[in-house]
Amino acid sequence: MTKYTMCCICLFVCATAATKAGACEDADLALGEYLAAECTGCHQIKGQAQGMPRITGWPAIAMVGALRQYKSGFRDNRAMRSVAQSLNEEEMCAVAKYFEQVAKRGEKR
Amino acid sequence: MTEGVSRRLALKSLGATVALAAGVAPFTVLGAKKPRVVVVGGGAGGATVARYVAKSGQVDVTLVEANEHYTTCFFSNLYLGGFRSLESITHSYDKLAAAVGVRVVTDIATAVDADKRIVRLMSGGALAYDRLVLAPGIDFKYEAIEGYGPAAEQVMPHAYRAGAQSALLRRQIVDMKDGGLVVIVPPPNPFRCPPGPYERASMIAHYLKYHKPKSKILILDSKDKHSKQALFQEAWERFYPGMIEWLPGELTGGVKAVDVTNMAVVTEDETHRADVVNVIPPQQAGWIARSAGAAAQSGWCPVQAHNLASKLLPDVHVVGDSIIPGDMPKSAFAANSQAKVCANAIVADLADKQAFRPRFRNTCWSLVATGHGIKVGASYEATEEKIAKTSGFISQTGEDDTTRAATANEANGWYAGITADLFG
Repeated sequence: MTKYTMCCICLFVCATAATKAGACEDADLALGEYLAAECTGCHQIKGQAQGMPRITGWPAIAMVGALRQYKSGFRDNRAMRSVAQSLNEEEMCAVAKYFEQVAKRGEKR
Repeated sequence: MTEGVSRRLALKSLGATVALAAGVAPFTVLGAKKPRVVVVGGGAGGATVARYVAKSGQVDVTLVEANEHYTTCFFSNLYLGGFRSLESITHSYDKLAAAVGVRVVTDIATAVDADKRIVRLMSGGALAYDRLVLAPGIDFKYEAIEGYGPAAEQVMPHAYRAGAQSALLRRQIVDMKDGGLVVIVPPPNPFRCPPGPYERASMIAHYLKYHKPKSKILILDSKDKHSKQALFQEAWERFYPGMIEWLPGELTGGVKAVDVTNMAVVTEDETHRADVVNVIPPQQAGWIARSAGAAAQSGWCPVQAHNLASKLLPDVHVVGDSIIPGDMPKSAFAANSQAKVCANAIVADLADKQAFRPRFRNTCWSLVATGHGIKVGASYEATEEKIAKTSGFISQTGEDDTTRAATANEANGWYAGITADLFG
């Protein structure tokens, strides 16, 4: 199996799983804001990407997918793997939904 | 005189009387509706607590910081190596004040009255609080090395509080002759930024390699092992072969004394003469934490893991380098992480908001050469006993250059990110 095929299967599985989670519609935004503070020690809340990827404005479903890929080791970054491993599904949804919303309303900081 | 004016005067004099009785400025006694949090120290711990408590919008936050601008100790080694200007690692508090309404007071806290819940200031004023957060960072135990102290540091800089000390060390290295010897004296555990002295050796070596290639660096340690040791030694052999020598504590017996007149460093058995000496003395919690009674015999502050509350003083929290951090290292990343747990607990207590499960994290990046970074990190949780490590990771020896370049890039990203979180 080629790496490309592997990739497609994985993305499909992840996307399907995320859809089953209902695209995080019931996410707890207060929990998300608290968890997001762990991210903003490195990633900028205003969305600038200077050496660290921008994480605001992603559809929640995409961020949950990325976090799952870090957790499984499919995406390879040891710091992000450690972050993702500390989050359960509910927490991933909460933080993903928070960053989706932050970009929409423009976080005042 | 109208009734309104006389009433104002009466109130004013009442305020003055109360202030006199309590020994505090009137504005702090009268009319505070929101709960008040005072934060002492505007570094990685203090600035973060101030921002995250103020962000709730339900608490008045005053940040007391001695300096108008803050030069970060993290990344100051990159200044020594020529990768950064001092200006690029110096930040103002203006945006923190404007963005979330933190009242920033440029002053020095001189005393804490924990019973009356008052912090006294050098300027003569005082601040009343419902909760006090102490984040004073580190102080040096000058007396631990004979001949070292506030005068000697002007000759043999520690450069472990960034700013003028960093500039002095940089100038000494730039002025040194080719073929000179730089001695670095790292502190014993525990100390701020465990990889710091060794990243510093790498950065000084980087400068010397291109400008004074006959020079040497001698590290006179008091410890037998250090943070990221295999990674640093691998990098030193590759990028600076023959330039850096590290002597462990079992060989040196530790540095006992320095002689600034003769630029000499004295260990158990030997005296080393050097051209530049960087003495990083043993450390303890910042003075205000110790004088307030928040520190234990060890010189560091014991805290509850789940909310960073002092185990010794009521209504006082301590975050950052001053605390006994369980399994966490003393780092800016760790201070920022602890501060968020602390802020969450304080807002939950004072403003009746939900408290979430404490989560802690740390990552320490070090730059060892151009585009060559290494990192170590971990996750932690609060237990009854301490902040306990749950899992960790470290760069591997023999990693390819692409990975090391990505790590170096990530380090720069972290600096931009955390300073935006602190001062942006």
